[in-house]
Amino acid sequence: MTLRARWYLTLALLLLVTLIVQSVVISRVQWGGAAPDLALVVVVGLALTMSEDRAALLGFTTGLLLDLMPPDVSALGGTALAFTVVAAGVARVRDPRGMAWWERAGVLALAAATSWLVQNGIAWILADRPFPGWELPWAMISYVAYVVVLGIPLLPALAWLRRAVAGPLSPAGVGGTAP
Amino acid sequence: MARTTERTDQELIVTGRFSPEGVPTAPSGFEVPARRRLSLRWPTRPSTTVAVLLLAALSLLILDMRGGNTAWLRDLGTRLGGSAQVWADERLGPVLDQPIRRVDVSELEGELEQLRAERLRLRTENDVLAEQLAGASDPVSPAGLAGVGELKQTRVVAADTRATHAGVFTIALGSQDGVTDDMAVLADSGLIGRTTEVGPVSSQVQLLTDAASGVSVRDPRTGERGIIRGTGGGLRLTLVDPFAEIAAGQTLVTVGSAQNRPYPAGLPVGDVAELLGVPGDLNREALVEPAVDFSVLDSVAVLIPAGAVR
Repeated sequence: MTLRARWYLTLALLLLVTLIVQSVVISRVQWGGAAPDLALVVVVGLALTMSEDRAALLGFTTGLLLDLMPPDVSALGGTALAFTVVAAGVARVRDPRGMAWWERAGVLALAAATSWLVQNGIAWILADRPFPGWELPWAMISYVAYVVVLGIPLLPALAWLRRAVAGPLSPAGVGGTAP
Repeated sequence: MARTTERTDQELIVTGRFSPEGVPTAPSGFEVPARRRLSLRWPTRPSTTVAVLLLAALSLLILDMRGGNTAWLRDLGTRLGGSAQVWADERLGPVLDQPIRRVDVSELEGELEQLRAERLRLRTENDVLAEQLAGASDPVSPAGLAGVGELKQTRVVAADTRATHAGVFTIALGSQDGVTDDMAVLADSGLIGRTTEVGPVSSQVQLLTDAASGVSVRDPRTGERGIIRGTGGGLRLTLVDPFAEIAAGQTLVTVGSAQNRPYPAGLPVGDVAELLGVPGDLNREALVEPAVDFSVLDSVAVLIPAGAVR
């Protein structure tokens, strides 16, 4: 099996496990109006090691699968749109190797805030979901905090997985030649 | 031999194992940047792939919201995703519920589950009979639940964590168990919602607190009617008669629907917590404290109406 095939197989398995764990396990941990978003952390972690195009494709696929995964509260395409924006944006981070923990936290916080605003913004603007009012900042802060706490240890683990399965990143191709 | 070298052209320090001639002998996965420069590649030419994907997501979004033909996609998700969730919950559920077990309590758990089901059945029967006693306009059979339907106990296997105040979750009962759309779902202390999308082994339940949910209720004491709608996180009552007298703390029950679908009469929905406005207001409303704690739902039951029992 080629490195590329092995990496795509690993990626598919990783996404499947992430979606199941997200909906079955993590959904039981809801506090402060939000819950940890493992899928977003995985997308951010892998997008850091990919080109912009492939990261966007990963974000779109993961978001679409999440949209399709029951229970489907939001409109189809909402999460796909948010994750595509986030993944394409994160893939623009130049040379993420050796990032300090606070740099990882910054990238994660920005990605989480963007994803949250896009997803909920769609619901407020295009659908009939009521604006949450004073709960808005609290729910967003909870969501961002969950993503950052979950992501700080997971990002290096995902980078390690990427190297272990598909080989090292090319210096010229951080975001350029990952399979 | 191990050593470190610097590649100034790419601003990287490469650490790893090298042969005496200086040729790397180990994977270069240990590369770290010499000078950490967290920056964005900006501005760059817009990527066609990204633009196409964004357009695809946006198109799907608009198609779904405008009532386009996306039902088959949702159905596919319910069938495949729901089955995967039920499979995972069967394996992970007990672990999540009881992470540390020093004794084998499976027998006690089974008994507890039976007692819970029995308590729920008796409570529901009691509510229905109380409703009949109060003179419901659409009384059910005097045989109590026998005339209403059969309660099937199940577990909550998944919830949507992405939306704020998610009002939908998945249960481990589907069409194979006789469940169809628009059946009442109950917890210990009252009504929690109704089934919406149904797959072979799983169904989606729309909670009463969901912003798109609504249920007709009545005050069993005075007979005053109203509609309870979800606010995303709670319940709000709108009275039909703006001059109606209703007291804080009063329990509200379902009015009931034809053939008990989605809701039979007499199921407790919640208690009036706070009256808003004064009698005569155009929209007389009240905040309602739900009869069920929606944040700790785990074991629920689907009421399969008598005509639909297989």
